[in-house]
Amino acid sequence: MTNIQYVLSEEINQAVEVSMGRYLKESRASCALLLAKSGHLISQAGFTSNFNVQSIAALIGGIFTSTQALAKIVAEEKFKVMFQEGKTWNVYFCLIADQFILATIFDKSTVVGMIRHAAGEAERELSPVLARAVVSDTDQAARDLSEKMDRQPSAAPGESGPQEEALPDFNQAVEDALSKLFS
Amino acid sequence: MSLINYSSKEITCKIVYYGPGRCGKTTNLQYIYSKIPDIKRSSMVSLATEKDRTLFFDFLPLELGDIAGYKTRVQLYTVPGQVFYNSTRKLVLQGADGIVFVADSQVDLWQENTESLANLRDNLGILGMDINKVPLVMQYNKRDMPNIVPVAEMDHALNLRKAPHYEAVATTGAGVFDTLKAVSALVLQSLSAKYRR
Repeated sequence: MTNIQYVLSEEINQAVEVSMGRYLKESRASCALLLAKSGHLISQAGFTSNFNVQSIAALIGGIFTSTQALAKIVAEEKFKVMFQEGKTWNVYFCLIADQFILATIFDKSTVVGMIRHAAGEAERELSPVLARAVVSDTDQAARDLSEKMDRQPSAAPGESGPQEEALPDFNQAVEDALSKLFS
Repeated sequence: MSLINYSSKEITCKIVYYGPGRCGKTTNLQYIYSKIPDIKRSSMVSLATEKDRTLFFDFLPLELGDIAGYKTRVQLYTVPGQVFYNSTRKLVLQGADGIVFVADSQVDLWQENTESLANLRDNLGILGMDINKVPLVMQYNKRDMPNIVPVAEMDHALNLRKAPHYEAVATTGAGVFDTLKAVSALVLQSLSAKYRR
């Protein structure tokens, strides 16, 4: 079974941040979120502190996934764009490189046409960058990360070699993390 | 379908609570949510019907903090348990890194458990995942009810894979954190081990 993961390198992150910043400026939106279709938040730009972005990302992931299922039922390949209009805030979503969603929250200081135009530009810019973030379990990038994760807990200064074979004790690590979170 | 961010050193994983209707999936998340100190609490999203039955999913993000040098975040989802919401269940299951199967211990709900487990196997298969390989924890819930199936019997019938199992009473929180801890550790273990070959 090939398992798809999203791995963001420093280089991909930087490119995404530049594109998101440019998109926000051109669209004049209040904030923009880039997320994987699964609802995982990848990047955010603008005034996001007013919103619970994790929940927004999960909900948009759900909305988009169900919309794609709807597309299938009506024999449409996919729905690429969605727009929700409210009294104060509007939300525009568009699919990028089939795996990602660019969600934009905006008020009356801009119009949907401008968002749509800028989102098209952002899509052209972000698609090739994000394509490099989708990896399968056979990819080197993911293996490299795994090695780093494994070394971290047991590595003492000057040590090398044998600890690469030992998986970290995630049971203890998770127990410690949960105790800390719920204390 | 985890998200790994090298530069911010963050890992985000998705854990799905699966099981028959009214088995206590949402109650598990509600209990966890109720125990998060106010200062660290974000929000739990529940897309439910007017009668408080899960319509699409419940969602609870948890920031576990630093694990093996990475800021680790687990996102807990539940699926709607009612039989006719299968298409929605499949959507939520997509991209799951780990699964908790919540079984209802009551004798009368035996068939619902077996049907739901078979449904999980089928849906995973459709999504290209194998129930024998995905990180899985079994939770035998409602152990406080009067007419319940012995744990050994439930385990024998439902847990063919011999995944870790926990008894629980989700309304009081018994077994809830043991289950969460076990599935989180399994997911991270799997993520780490997967790329070592």
